[in-house]
Amino acid sequence: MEQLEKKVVIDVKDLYKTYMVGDEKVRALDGVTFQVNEGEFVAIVGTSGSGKSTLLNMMAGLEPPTKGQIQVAGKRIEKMKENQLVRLRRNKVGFIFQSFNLIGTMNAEENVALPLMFRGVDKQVRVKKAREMLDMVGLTKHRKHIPTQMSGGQQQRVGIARALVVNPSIVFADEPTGNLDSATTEDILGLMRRLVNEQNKTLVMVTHDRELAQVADRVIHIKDGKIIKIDINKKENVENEEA
Amino acid sequence: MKFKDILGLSLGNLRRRKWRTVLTVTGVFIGTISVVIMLSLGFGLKTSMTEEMSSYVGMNEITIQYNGSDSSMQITDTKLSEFKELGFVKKCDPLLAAAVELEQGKWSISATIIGVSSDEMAKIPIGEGCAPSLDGGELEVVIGNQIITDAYDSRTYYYPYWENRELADMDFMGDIVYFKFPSKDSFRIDEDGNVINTARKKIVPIVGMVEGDINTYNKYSYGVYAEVESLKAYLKKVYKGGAIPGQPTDRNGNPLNYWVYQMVTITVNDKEDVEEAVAYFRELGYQVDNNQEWLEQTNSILFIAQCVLGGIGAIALLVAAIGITNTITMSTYERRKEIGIMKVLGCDISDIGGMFIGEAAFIGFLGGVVGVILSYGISVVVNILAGPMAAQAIEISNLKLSVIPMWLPFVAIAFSTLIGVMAGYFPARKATKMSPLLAIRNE
Repeated sequence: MEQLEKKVVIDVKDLYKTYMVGDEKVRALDGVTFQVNEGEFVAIVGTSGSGKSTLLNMMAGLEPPTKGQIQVAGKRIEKMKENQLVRLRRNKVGFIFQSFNLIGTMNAEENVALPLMFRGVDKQVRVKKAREMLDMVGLTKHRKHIPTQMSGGQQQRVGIARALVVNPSIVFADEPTGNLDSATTEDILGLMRRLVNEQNKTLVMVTHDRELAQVADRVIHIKDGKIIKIDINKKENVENEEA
Repeated sequence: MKFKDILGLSLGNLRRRKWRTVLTVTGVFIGTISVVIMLSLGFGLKTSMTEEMSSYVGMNEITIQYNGSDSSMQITDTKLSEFKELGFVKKCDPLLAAAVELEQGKWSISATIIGVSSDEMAKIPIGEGCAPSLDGGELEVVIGNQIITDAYDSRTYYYPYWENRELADMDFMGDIVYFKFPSKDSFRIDEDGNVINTARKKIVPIVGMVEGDINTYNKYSYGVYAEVESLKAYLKKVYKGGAIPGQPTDRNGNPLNYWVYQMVTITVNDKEDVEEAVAYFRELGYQVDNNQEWLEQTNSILFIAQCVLGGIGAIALLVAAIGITNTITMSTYERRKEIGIMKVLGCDISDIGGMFIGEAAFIGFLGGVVGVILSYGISVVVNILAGPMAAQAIEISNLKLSVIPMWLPFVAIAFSTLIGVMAGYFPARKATKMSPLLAIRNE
């Protein structure tokens, strides 16, 4: 069973990203190579300016690399046009933001249903799906609340529900607890961990906090655009597989 | 994304910024009103003129006159029978004019007795009295309803109507009116220098008056009409075999034994024959007039007028379009983050563009609808307030200054919507190019 090859969903090879700051070249990413397997929870940890956010943005197709290859869900994305990238995100990718980024004029239910609207799903169907998601993240009573009527933790739960509503094969999370207090942080991380386990989702989370990263299966440490260390916290998964 | 959903997002965004939407829509409806009203003025003029024209002469009629000196060209009975032989001619109605001075008390009117065929006579709308009997007996006439405005005091040459808008106290129907037929030497100056009027003074019964009051003009309003054969017989009698003014004479001034008509109205078989007939008679050297040609000329002038009026209106609409562009541009900048989020969540780029174009189009559409509704109101007001004044100024009865054709509201709304789409296009395109990273950045 341990010999069974896990499916690779993200394959990053020799990734470089160079920015021009004035006349100076800044290497945000300096030859990064790694893979993420299906059903894996990977944390990318680094200080501010380490290149971790750049890496995430590139995997999500939000900015193009200077050099190198990125394969996401079996597709090479580094040369894709924007509309192809949008389509890929729509069909395969969920995204959780640091500042939640809910649409202020829409209530929780509508926010969660939004990615389904982009897919052209009928209103009744998407509302039903959005409700299921809100039930799952424990916000059954807050369906009709707009973002300003909810706490940060509740907003992020909506954000998570929105990321998962399209049943994506990969979820990216960009400092998902960066705007939350420690109690809520634990709460949210627990929720994310649970979802990965229960639904076999692949989750890539970026954070600056080494402590928080421990919830992940694998922790990729990044500094000055290079991977300096990869920790494997296999305990739980190993237990699960042996059971 | 479903069209319905894109529209829903657009409307939601407009509702979010109600006040701004209202102001932008206001710009558009003012623009729409100015275009619709300006065009309606053009249509009003056109409709009134067309109606006026067709009340003059039927569309398959042409009139020909000869003003030259070649006596072989003159319109005589022989000529008329020649014309009738032509394939496209249905009938010829000659017109014979004779100058006459109407007199009652101190008032005189210089008028023309117009002899027309019985067909033509039947077309004259009679108000008071009746039409002349057409049995070829004694001469009877119908008098124009506005002819009294030409009355003048024969000694002082005072024209009460033209000078003071007063009507001369003449009674055509109840009292005797003298008809003075001029001769070659009607006015002779005697040894003492007095003017002696030697015109032949007769009494001709006026049996009817053309329909309409003093302010209602039609083409018969200023004439005195008689049946042509009776008129010929009467003139012969009045001038006792001598020369009749306007009729041909030989070198010695003796009358010839045929009549020359001043004009003939030729009815062609079909509207399509008009062109051929006009060309034919023009080729022969006659002066030819017909409605259709006149109408075409008038239309081309009116078309230019309408373009100018529409152009003036279009300036307001252009300003409104700039307003839309401005509003949508603002909206895209305010919602940069939202656009970024939508892109990250997988919203098609074209749907984002569509959302903003939808907003712009809806502003245009709403402005068009409101503009059209208000235009109808303004059109009514214009017709009530300015209509009578304009009617007097250009001497057209029943003038409707502003006419909105059935199709205009639909075209106006479609056009203002299109303007909205065009005005929204560039800001929308800009919106689609905004980076999704804007969603990630934390302010």
